Amino acid sequence: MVKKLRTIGLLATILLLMVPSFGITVNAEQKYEYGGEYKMAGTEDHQILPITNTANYNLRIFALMYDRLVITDQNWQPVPWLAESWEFSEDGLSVTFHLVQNATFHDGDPVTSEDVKFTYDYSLEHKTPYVINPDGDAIDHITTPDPYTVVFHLSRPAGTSFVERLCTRVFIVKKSEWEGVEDPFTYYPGVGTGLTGSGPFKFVKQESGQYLELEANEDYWKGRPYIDKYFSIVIPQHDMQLMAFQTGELDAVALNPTDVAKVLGLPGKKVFKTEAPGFREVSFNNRRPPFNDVNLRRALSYCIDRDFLIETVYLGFAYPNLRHLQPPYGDWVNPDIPVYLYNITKASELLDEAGYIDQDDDGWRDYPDGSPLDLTMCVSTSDIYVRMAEVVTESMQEVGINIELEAGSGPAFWNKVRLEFDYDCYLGGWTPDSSWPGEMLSWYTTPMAEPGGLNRRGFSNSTYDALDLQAAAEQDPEKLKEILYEMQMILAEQCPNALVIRNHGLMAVNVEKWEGYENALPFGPLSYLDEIGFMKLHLKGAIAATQTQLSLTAPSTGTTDERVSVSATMTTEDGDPVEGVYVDFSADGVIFASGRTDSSGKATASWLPETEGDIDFKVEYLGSAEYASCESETKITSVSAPAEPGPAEPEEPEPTPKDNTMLYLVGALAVIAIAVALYLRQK
Amino acid sequence: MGVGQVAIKRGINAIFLICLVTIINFFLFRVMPGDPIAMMTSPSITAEVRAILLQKFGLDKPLHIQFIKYIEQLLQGNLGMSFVYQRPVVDLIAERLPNTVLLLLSSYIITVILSIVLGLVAAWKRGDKIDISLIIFSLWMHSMPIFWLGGLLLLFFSIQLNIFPVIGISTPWLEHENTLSYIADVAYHLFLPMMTLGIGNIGGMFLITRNSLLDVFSEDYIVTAKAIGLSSRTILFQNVLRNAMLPLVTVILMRLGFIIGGAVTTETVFSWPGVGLLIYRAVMHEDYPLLQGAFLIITISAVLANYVAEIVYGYLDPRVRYE
Amino acid sequence: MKSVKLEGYKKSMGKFWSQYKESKMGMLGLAILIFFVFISVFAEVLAPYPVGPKEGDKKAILKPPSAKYFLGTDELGRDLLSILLQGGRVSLTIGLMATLVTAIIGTLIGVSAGYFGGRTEEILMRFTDLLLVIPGLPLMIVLASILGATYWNMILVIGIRGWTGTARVLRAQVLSLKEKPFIESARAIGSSDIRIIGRHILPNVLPLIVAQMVLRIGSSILSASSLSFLGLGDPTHLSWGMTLHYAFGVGSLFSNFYWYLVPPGVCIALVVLAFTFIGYAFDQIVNPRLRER
Repeated sequence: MVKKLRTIGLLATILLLMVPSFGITVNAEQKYEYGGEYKMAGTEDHQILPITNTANYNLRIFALMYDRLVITDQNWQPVPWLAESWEFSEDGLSVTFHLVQNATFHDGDPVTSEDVKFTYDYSLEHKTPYVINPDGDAIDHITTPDPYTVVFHLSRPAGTSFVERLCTRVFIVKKSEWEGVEDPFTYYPGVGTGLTGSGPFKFVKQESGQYLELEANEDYWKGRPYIDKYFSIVIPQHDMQLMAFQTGELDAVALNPTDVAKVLGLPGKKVFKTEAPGFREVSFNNRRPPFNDVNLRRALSYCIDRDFLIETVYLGFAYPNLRHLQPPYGDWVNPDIPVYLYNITKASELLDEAGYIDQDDDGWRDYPDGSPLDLTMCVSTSDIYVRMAEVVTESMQEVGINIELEAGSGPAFWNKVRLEFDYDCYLGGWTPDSSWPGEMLSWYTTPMAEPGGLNRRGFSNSTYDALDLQAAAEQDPEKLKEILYEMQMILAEQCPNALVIRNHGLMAVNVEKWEGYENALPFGPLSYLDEIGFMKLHLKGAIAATQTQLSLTAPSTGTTDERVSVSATMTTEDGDPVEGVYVDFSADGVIFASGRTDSSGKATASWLPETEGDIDFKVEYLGSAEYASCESETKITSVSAPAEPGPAEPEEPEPTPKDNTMLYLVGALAVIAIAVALYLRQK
Repeated sequence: MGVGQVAIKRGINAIFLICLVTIINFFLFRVMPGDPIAMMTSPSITAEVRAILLQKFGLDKPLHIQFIKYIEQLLQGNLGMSFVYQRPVVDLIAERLPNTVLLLLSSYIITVILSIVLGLVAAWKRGDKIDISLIIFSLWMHSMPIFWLGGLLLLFFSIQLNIFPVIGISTPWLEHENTLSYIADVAYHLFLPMMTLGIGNIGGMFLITRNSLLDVFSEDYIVTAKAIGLSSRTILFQNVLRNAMLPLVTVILMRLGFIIGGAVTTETVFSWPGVGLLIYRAVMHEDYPLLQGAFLIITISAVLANYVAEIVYGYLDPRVRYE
Repeated sequence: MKSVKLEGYKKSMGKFWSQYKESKMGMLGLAILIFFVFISVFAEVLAPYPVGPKEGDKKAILKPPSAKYFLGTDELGRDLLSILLQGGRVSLTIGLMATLVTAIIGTLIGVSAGYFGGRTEEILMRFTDLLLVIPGLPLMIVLASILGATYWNMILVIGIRGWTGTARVLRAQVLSLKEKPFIESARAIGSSDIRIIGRHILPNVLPLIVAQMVLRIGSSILSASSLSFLGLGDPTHLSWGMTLHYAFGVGSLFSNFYWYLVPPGVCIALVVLAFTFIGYAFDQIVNPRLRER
């Protein structure tokens, strides 16, 4: 059986070498052997019912078990999936999707427009999170003129956001399975039932608290994945996950910055990092003083010591976040907006100008009218956030702002922060759900400032709101860019929040046993919503004889604010270019991009340096059935900081320490002493 | 009063306690400050959904009506829905309770055996270096955070020496041909957490064992026996153990309810899929229905364990039995 | 008059001390405790490096012990020895404050139950029994997660858990005291209940309260460390338990950051051990039941 597969595989390989484009067909032809069980870890059970899902954590399983109309590929670009094509009507009030005709559910029934219509209607009816966001409620009704056409009739014009933001998040379920379920929030079908999707993997079983098992869908309409099974093993402790990865019990694991050093030293493992979107921010409460004063907000935006955080908390694995839209949004980022680099002197100056000076000589700045300024920064008790908050509050204290840190948890705390908005500033973070560039910008609109909404900052600007609505209805990419540029400018000038950093996605994988990895945007290989990655993954076959070599070109210098471009050329021993393979570019040992070689064997990539210093660039090819592995020599790029006004020494005197623990300790000891004395008196 | 009467009297007490616990459990989660909806569902829902859920869960009704509904649901075996797992809380707990019971009972057996053996040695060699070292050893065990001990054992045996596995209760993808290999696999995973809890809980029990044994040793008849010249071993097995048994058993039974707390941190360190780990996850994700359900079950279990202990004690205590 | 009182004062203190001195465990415990209290109070002076969030050495993150950093560094590059010194202050204070809460509640309930008897006693003791049965750590976990994990909430939550033992012991003591003649005579004179409790009962049970407190501090500190480990501690107050929490969180097991993992646990264990020893010695002297042995 295996031999037969091998022959077929070889024949198919030869056939395929003549097919230039991998494109959307993915595994239409079998290139490699089938087999293997891929194991990853999860911190807890996965929830496997998509309609009521509330956590990003479950997205990987949904992407494997179900299909969507449109998905994002490994360059974070939307590509047709269940929908082969779609078109907007002239007035933008309807969108027509044409479905592929050979998609089937795991039980063999075809995926029809009825199922798509049902999924969307049902999600809207039960207010599934992420569906009822700005695009979902534009849907007036859905019609299905034939089994493979779905028409969305909208109550207001839709733009590219409808497809990119909404359709990439709705997992199509089987109508006949769900139509009888009255309340999806309390629906529990019992283990092993009600889990029919149409995706590349089928549900096998789930042992609660232990693991989830999926197997390849042999009849998958895009071609079955190469791996036989996928396991998600429940390992709550991060250390244990790493241990299991080291011993080979797990094939991939997400890393924290402190783990990278050790993992790089392990044989047969590689580390990938990506430019993930999303950010950590200091959210100012724009609704009330003092943060309703734009001057104060601007001044404090200069108080974020990003370099320190990146070097210490993230060990270099993070970006300074200077703009509200950043890489990997590429061209959508407005390059002309003002940025607020760490500058204590400037912050002080601006505060002085805005009237926040120390009027009562207590060493702290006060309101312009003289009343004392006492602020609190709220933060959740998550370790990394606390560390960041500590650093930020200390910077603010250096500038003379009397601010204290409050780390909280529990319903009372979240009530305060999310519903009542009773806070001054809050250090938190968020990650976008889709690739649509306007999504992150839409979190600053007035409707989103309602309790429970994402605009916790309470930023409210009518021009901005109007622009957001326009963006959601825009179909022309050029016009959309203009709108988004303007929105970014407003945000950059109004500073509703202070942006802190963006951390890399870090993933370690086993390359001894597996190949076919590709660094996928935005979160790395095999991250959420990367079903294409899982379909490409396969067991490492015999490494072929054709020797290859790689040469790397990298600039000798660079600055921390500009991307460094590197390129590699791959040739065989005889000098013929090798085309159509993925080579991995790494910086300081960690892979940051995978590039596909073109007809001249060339692949390019770029990287935005985080900190100053020397970067060791390298490119390698991990080997496959056709070509042997190889790697290039190391090229060093020296990165320095761009010229900027240096951070000045603090002007205000050192604040008195706020820690009252000493007082409590002495007080408690005193009470004990008194008690003992009283006792002795009695004796 | 005979055993039967003890059973009834303590039984009524147990039922009363369970009722109190249920009431406290309800009020704890409803009356405490904070958003009741946040207690029941995921925090990231919109205002519309919040209003709907408020009505659906009956949280807009007065407190006593909510309480009645709560009791109704309890009697039907409905502990609510975990919003993190999207499954009924009862199912989650039912699946994991056996694992916790396995861990607790096996570790408790270790604790008891070690305490008795070491207590015997210490009492027999009273005042000797061995005695003092054992006392200090047990006090040190008592003073150590158990999860720290677990972490150290894990670091040493699993990670550095690679002797024991790192994950959970059994190797997930292994297809076991027969029950025997499954039991072996579980035992392999059980060893470290069992030893951690087993040794960590020695502290108090060792001392009590030693003290009660000392009491027995100083009894006149033992002194006499020694004087007569009966061999140490004879004295030991025939007299000491038999007479010390009652207080020992008392201690063993009474402490059973107290070891439950140690399960939470140990299960967390070893990723042992029991109710303790469930509580940890519930806390991390603020999954209050799960937390409430698990807490109720744990507390009721403790009450029941205590009750069983009281009955067994009543049976063994000759003063009670021969009434 | 005053000089007689002073003489009596000195004598009783001397008597207590001479009894205490005989206990080897007590002395050892006291020595350890004094050591830790000393380093906690003088932590700033003794600590070689500052422990502010930005004081870390960027070049020395998670480094093992060396000549420069005696106990290694943490993930922000801060000297672990300095952190432990500061942490001692936090841990000890939390333990003490929580035990104070325990003592106050336990005294109130125990004395009321013992003195007033009857219905009051029955209700209070039932309530005490209930709390005794509820598993300790889970109760603290539930309370902490509902109230929110702050410094003061933690003290409250730990304090609430522990008063059962104190209440019981006190009730027993008050019961036996009630029969004593001077109480009867006080009542005969017509003193109010409050006066009797305040003037006669409380001073007599005070030693027991103190002994109970000493016995409970150890378990308070352990509870605090468990809560912190589970993530319910207050991150703005870096106790030993929180340091352990960060140690686990940063991957000490996988990457073998033993210097981060071992010392905080040793500190906790030593302090709790010290209190256990002291409590044991205290209990021997003060507890009337044990005195007869």
